[in-house]
Amino acid sequence: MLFVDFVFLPFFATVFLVHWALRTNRARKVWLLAASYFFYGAWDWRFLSLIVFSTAVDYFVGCRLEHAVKRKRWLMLSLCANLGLLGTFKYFNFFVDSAVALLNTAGFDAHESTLRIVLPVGISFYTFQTLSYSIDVYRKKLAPTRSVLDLALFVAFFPQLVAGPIIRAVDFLPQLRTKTVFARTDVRAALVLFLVGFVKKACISDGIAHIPDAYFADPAHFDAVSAWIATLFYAVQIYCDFSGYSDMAIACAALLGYELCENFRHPYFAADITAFWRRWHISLSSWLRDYLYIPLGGNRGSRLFTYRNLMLTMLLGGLWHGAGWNFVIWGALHGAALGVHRAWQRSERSFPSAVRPFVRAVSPLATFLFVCFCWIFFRAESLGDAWIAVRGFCLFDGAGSARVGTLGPWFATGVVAALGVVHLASARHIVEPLWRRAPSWAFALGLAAAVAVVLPFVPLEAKPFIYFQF
Amino acid sequence: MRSLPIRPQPGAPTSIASAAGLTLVFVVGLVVCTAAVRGVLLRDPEVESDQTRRSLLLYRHFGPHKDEYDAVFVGSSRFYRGVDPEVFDAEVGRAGLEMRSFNFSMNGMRMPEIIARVDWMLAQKPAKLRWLIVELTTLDPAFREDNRGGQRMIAWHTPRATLDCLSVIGASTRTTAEKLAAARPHLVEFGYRFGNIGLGFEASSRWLGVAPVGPRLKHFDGYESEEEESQRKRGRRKRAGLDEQGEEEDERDDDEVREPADVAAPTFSVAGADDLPPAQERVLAAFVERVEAAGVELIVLRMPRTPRDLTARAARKRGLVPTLLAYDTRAAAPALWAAELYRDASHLNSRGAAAFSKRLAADFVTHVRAGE
Repeated sequence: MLFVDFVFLPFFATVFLVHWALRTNRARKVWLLAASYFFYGAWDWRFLSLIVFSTAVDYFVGCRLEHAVKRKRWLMLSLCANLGLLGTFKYFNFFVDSAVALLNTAGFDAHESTLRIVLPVGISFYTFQTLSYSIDVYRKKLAPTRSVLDLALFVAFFPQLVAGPIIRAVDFLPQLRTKTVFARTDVRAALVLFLVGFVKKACISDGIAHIPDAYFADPAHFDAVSAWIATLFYAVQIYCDFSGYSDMAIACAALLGYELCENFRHPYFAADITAFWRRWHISLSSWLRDYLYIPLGGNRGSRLFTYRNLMLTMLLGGLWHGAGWNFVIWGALHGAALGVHRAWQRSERSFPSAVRPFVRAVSPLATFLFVCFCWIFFRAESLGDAWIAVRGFCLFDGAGSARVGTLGPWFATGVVAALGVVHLASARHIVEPLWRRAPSWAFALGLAAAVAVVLPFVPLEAKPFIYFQF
Repeated sequence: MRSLPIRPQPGAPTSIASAAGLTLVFVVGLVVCTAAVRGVLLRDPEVESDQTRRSLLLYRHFGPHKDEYDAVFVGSSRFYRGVDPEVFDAEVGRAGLEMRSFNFSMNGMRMPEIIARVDWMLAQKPAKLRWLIVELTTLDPAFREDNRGGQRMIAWHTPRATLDCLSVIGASTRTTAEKLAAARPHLVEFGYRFGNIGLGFEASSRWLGVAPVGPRLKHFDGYESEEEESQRKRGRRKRAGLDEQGEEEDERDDDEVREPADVAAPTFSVAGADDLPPAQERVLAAFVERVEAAGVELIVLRMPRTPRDLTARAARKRGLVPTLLAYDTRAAAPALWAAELYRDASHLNSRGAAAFSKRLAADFVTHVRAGE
C-alpha cells in the first residue's frame, strides 16, 4: 500500500476517524499499532515477525540497561540482533555475490548460492530507529520506556515505517506519553503538505521517471545530450520521490497528532556539499553524524583523522542505501567531496576578496552538478553502465546516437528550470500566507480546486517509491 | 520542525458539525472542479483514447464524421475482424438501400463497455444514425488483470457503467469477499475517471506539440482486412529497420487480440435459455430504452463460432431486444462456419469477413423491408 495508492485513502480515513473517536491515549495507541501492523502486513505479513522481534529485543535490552552493571554487553546484544537482521536480509546476497566474483577472478570455480534472500521493506529504516533507542538508553540520554506498546508503536508507526524519516526515540517516545489533541493539530498545514508531497511523487517523479528509466536501461544506445537529460531528470525524480514521500509521511503523522522530524530542506539550493548533507535526508545524515561520525572521533583529531572519519561515515552511508558497489562508490565520492570541501574552507580565507563573490555565486551550481554526477553511480544498473553515462555527462562523449524521450534539450532544461522556480517559491514561503489566512470555506474550495488540477497529471502507472528498496 | 509547525489554527473546525460542513464543501468543490477540468482536457476527445492505433483511429474518425453514418457496429474482436462496412454498404445499396456504416468495435470489448460506448456515441447526437448493431453477450463485469488501469478501461467507467457493473456483482451468488474483490477494480477505474487521472499529460503534450501524431487515414470505416494489416506491419518493420521476423518497435498497437471474449468464460449472472438474471435484465432494459429514446433501432447480433452464451436469446424471448440476428449455431449459417473463412478459432479472415458482411447485409435488408 503506497501513500499514492487509491486504497490508501479509505485506509487512512478509517485510521484517522477511529483514532480521533477513541477517548483514551492508550486505546489510540493500540489502534495505531494495529493499523501500522496491518499497513506493513499488506506487503508481506511474514516480515512482521522481524519488526516484532526487533521491538522485543530492544525492549528487553532497554530494561536491562537501566540497572545492569555490564551495560556494554546489553548494548552489544541490541547491536548484534539489529545489525544481524539487517546484514542477513540486506547484505547476504551482496557478500555472497562479491565473494563468488572474487574467487572466480582468482581462478577458483565458485558458483553463486541458490539461496536468495528477499529484502523486507523498510528494514534499514526501522533498524536504525531501534538502534537509536538502545544507544540513547545506553548513553543515558533517554530513560528506557516501561511501555512495550509505546516502543512497538515507535518502531512500527505506519506513516514513517517503510521509508522514514528515521525518527529518534528521544523525540517520539515523549509524544506517545501525552494524549494527542485534535484542536492542536494544524490540519491546514498537514493537508497542504500532503498535497505538495503527492504532487512531487505522483505527478513529477512518476511523470518524468520514464526518461531516466529508458536511458539507464541501456546507456550505450544514447548520445551525450541524453546523458545530461537523464541525469538531470533523475536528480529531480529522486528528490521529488523521496521528499514527496517524507512530506506525506510528516503530514499523515501530523493529522494523527504526532510530529516527525524534517527530512529535506531544499537541498539542491545548498551552497556547498556540507550544506547539501545538512539538507538532504536530514534524519539519516544526522543519525550517521550522531551515531557513527562522532563516535569514530569526528573532527577531534588531526585533519587526516577527520577525513578518514568522513570517508568511513559516507562509505557506510552509501552501503546503507543498497548492497552494491555502485552505492559504495557513491558514498566514497560524497566522502571525498566532504573532505575536499573541508580543506577548501581552510584555504578559502586566503583567497583575494575580489574572487570570493564569484566563488559564492558559482558554488551552488557546482554543488548541484557534482550531486548529479554522483547520482549516475546511484542509478546505473552496473559499473559499466555508470562509466558510459559518466563519459556522456562529463566528456560529452555519448556511446550511441539515439535521443532519450521526446523532449528536446531546451525543453528538458525548461522543465527542470520551471521546477527550480516552483521550488524556490516554496523555499521562500511565497504561497503560504494565502492558505494560512483564507477563511475555512475558501481553504476547502481552494484545496478541492488544487486537487482537481493536480489529479490529471498523475500518470496511470504508479511507480514504487525509490527508497522502498533501501 | 520548520516546514510544518503544529499549532492551533484560527477558523479550524472545532466541532464535528463544522468539520463535516467543510468536508462537504470540499467534496462538492471537488466534483465541480473535476468536471470543469474534464471539460477543458477533453476539448479534444482523442485525449481520452488509450492512444493505441485502433482506439485513436476510432476517436479520430467517428467524431468528425458522426453525422454521416446510418448504422454503427459495436462489438468485440469478432465484430472488428468480421464486419466490413464497405462490403455491407455495397450489398445493402444493391438492394436499393443507400446507407453508410461504421465499425466501432475493439478487441476485448465486452457488454459493459459496449453499453458505455453506445451511450457515448448517442451523447454525440449523430444526426443520421438509425441502426445500432450490437454484439450482445452476458453482462460480465469481470475483466483481466492486465487490462486494469489503462485509459481505455478508465474511459468507459462512467457513473452509469460502474453502477451497472456493481449491481450485477451485487446480485450475483458470490460470497461477500468475492463480490468485494470483483467490485474493487471497478471502483478504482471509476475513481481514476472521476479524477481525470492521466489525461493531463496527454492533453498538455498535445498543446505543446510534443505528442506523437499517430495514424492518419483518409478513408476509414473501422475495418482493416488481414492483407491491409500485414502490409501495414511490414511497412512499419521496414521503417524500424527490422527484418520480416523482427520484433515490432511500436508496442502501442492493439492489433493483437489481448482479450478474446472466449478466453475468459463469463463469471457473473449467466443467463439460462429462458431466464435472465434480474440485475442483467434491469441493465439491458434501461440500455434498450436509452437507445430507443434516441430514435435509433437496436439490432442484436450473434456472430458465428461464438462461444455459447444464451443472454441474447433470453433477452429476445423476454422481449427486451426487438431484433436478434443469430449466426452462432451451425444450423443457422452452415456456410459461415467453414474453417477456411477463419484466421483462428473464432475470428474471420478477409474472405470470411466479406462472406459474412454479405450475408448480414441480406438479412438486414430483409429485416428493414419487413419493418416497412
